[in-house]
Amino acid sequence: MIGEQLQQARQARQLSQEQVAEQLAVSRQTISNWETEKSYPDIERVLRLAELYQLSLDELLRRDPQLIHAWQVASDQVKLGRYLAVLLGLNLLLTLGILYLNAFFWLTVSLFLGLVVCVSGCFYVLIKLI
Amino acid sequence: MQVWLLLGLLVALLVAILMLTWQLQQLLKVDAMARQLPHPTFWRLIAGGTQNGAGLLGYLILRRRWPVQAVLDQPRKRQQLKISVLAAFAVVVGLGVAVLVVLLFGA
Repeated sequence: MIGEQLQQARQARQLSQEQVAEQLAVSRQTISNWETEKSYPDIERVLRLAELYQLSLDELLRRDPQLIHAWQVASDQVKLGRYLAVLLGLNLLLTLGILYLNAFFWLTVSLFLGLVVCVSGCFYVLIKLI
Repeated sequence: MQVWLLLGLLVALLVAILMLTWQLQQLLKVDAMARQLPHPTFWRLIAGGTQNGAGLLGYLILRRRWPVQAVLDQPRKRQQLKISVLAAFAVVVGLGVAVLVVLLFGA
């Protein structure tokens, strides 16, 4: 697993967690969390760790599917964040439409239903993000 | 007849809202614990207690500094709670629309 591998590589290079943390501009606790697999490094940090410990990326990534999964989750969250921004913008437009076009009954009803769908979409994305 | 229908729908809506709030609080609790957030109960109440979702957005921004710790996470429970929250939300929306339809077109 990647945590064990990182710890062994660091010890083989006779580096302390503080020294690695300084080189990667993270806290010592973060290095400890990676080594105990409480959390996973992002792709940029994995590249720098591979460089620092002189390990191949293939060696680092192949052994731990959890790391790839953590990256997939992070990438999905970025996508969902974009959807959320679009839906919130649409929400605002529909609310303004309801406020200013309320002279036309059926148009207001349609906009309101659109708003309900949009709010539901926002809620769905928010829950997916948690 | 219409008054009773409306009252029934309102009671069902209230129950659905309470269920939704409770499920959401449970989901936030699982997430806050997996991230070891300081004062998890406070953030849970703030995030899950607002009506317009601003609390949830605030929570998502706040929690970025605390990554999920894989050993503390409960992915299965998290997934089950997400499904329950979305189901409760669908019921709330359905009942809300039904109340509006009865109010607007009931007469």
